Amino acid sequence: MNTNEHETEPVEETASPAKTKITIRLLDKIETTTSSNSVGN
Amino acid sequence: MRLPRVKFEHRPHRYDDGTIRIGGEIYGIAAEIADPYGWVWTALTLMDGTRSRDEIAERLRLSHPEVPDAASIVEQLVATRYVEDAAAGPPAGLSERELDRYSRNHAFFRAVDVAPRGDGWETQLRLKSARVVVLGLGGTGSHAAWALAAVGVGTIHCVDPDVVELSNLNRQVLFGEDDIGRPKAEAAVARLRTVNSDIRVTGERRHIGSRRQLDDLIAGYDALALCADRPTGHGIRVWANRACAAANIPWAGGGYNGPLVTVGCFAPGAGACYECLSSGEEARRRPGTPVNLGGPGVIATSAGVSGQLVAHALLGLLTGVPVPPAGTIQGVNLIAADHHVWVRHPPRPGCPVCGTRAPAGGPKHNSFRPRTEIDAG
Repeated sequence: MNTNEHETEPVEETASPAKTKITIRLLDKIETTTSSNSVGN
Repeated sequence: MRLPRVKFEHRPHRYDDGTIRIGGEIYGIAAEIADPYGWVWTALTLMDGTRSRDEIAERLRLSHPEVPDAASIVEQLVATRYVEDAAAGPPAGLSERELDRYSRNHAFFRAVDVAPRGDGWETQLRLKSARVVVLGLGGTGSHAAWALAAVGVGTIHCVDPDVVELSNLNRQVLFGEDDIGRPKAEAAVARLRTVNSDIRVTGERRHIGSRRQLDDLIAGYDALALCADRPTGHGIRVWANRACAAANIPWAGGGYNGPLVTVGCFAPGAGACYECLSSGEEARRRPGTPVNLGGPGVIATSAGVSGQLVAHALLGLLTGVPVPPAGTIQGVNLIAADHHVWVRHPPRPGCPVCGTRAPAGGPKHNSFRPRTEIDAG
């Protein structure tokens, strides 16, 4: 399963609508950058 | 949540491949959402504070008829830290003046809060109702007390036995030349009341010479900022550890050993206590090494970092925003930018202060940077 993609999965048999699961992945430390819009006032 | 709105600080960006960046670029906040069909992007775009959740879901269905469950997408996004309720009115309990004074606090807490909340002012309200004792008004304590007052902690009690001396003025932010010879507690109270007249500031010139005296001092307060180093840095921390555990209140203690600045953050029932951390560090020390090889050197910057770290730890302990690193000691080495202090040890089996939760297999030392032992205060 690729957790970075939407997963569409039936909830209950065929009578219920499928649910779309959103996967929100927090960035790792190495993926973040020094802020270019920092303020100091 | 009546009118979902993506927080200003977390406004999303969509890359060419459809991936959504939300929450800016700071580690601990920023995230990515894979969105190959554009459903999430559409929903986030609709969350501008003018539509209800049902209206957003309906508009999403109109834009993307193939979406299996538009309402589910909306509900999942509403449950994240990135969305607030535009319909939330001004909070009861804060005056117009306080809303203005703390407007930047509000933006900060709103940005770093990891919990979804309808009202971004909850953190400020918790601070307003908080009561904190600042013990010690030297380099660390003066900066800590200033920060706690400025940020809006509702009740602050300042305690120190000393008078202001000329040699204090290189680092102790609450005092000026006119205060030389004046009791620190008295001068600190006067200064803090000019910083923030919307809070209650009290103080007393007092020496804490026993655990029992510390018990009495903290009775009725919500947290302790330990910024004193007498009778010894370790000794008074042990008193604080036991007194705060008995009173069931959190505490933070900070200090410096030359350029090494550290703060310990402790809360009953959350991680190891000070004595367990201290014991763990002692076990790592080379046998025969004296406990304190430091000296009295301190400048405004090292004292300032120390006090601000104490205050910041207390904000988390009092409000949960940001989430406090309870049961740890953290810090920085001001002469080695790549040295980040991050000390964690498990509770010792049978510790009378923090319990018997030591895991099987012995202590574990966790660190993502070179570790160091506890400073000398």
